[in-house]
Amino acid sequence: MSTASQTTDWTDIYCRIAVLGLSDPLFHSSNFRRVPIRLIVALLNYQAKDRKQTINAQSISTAKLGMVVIGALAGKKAKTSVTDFLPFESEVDPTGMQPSTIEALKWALKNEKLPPVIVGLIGVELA
Amino acid sequence: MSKYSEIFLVGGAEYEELGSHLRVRKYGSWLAEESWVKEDQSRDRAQFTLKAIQLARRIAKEKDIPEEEAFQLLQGGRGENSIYLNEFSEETADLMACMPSYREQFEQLATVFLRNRGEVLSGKKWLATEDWEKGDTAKLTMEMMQNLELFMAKEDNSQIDNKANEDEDSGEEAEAGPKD
Repeated sequence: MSTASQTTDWTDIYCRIAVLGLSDPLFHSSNFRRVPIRLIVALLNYQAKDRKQTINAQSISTAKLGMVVIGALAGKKAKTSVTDFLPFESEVDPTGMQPSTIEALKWALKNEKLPPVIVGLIGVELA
Repeated sequence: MSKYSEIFLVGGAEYEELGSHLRVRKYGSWLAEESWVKEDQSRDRAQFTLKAIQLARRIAKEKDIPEEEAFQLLQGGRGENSIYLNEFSEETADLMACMPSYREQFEQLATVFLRNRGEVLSGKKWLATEDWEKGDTAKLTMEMMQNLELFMAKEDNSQIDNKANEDEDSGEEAEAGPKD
C-alpha cells in the first residue's frame, strides 16, 4: 500500500470506509487498528466499484439523450448502445450475459456446435 | 463456509501456535495497526539513511574526498581518511543515536502483533492478550520469537497472494478511470 517515496494516507482510507456506513463495531474508529488489510482492500475495491455504478446510474438520462441525438442524426444506421455514453465501462454486458457465457457461445458458434435455430436467435447478439 | 465469510471474519478463527501456552490468530493479512507500525519504522530507517547521506556529502565536500568514501567512513570503514571522522564526531554521534535498531523494531512489531492477535492458555481457557506490553515481549523465548517472525512473513505473503487473486478476479476494473 505504500512505496518508498509515498506513505499511506490512513485518515483518507478510514474516511472512505466510514462513509460506507458499516454498523459492525469493528469499523468504529477505536477498533479500526484491528481491521485486516485484506478486508480494507476488499472494502475499498467495493467502494470504487459501487461509486462507478452510481455515477453510471446517474448518467443514464444523459446517455439516453445521446442515443436520441445519434438516432436523429444517423437514423437506423446508428450502432450505439446506452452504455457507450456512460462514463465508466459497464461490468454487466447489455445483453445481460456474463463475458464467460458469451465466450463459450462464440466458441460453440465457431465450431458449429449449436443447432441452426439457436444460431438464428442469438447470432445477432453475439456478432 | 464461503471465501467471503473468511474475508468478513465470521468464519471459525484459526491460530498459529507460538508455544504450548501462546498462540496468535491468523487473519490472512496484517492488521491496520501492524502496517502503521511497519510504515513508521520504514520511515525512521529512510530518515536515518537520508541523514547519513547528507553528512557523508558534507564530509566529502569539506574534506575533498569522494562521496562514496565518506559514506564508507560513516559505515565504520577504516582507511587513511578515517581521521576526518574525528572532526565530525558530534554529528556522527547524533546520527548514530537516531539509528534504528533491528531488534528494537522487531520487538515493537511483535508487541503489536501479540496485543492484537495473541492468546495465552490460562488453565483450560485461552485468554486474549490485549494488554500485552513490550516487557512481555522481552520475556519470550528465542524459539517463540522465531515462530512469530515466521508467522509475520506468512501473514504478509497471504496478503500478497490474496491481493494477486483479487486482481485476477477483478481485472483492471478497479483501477480504470472514466471512459473518454
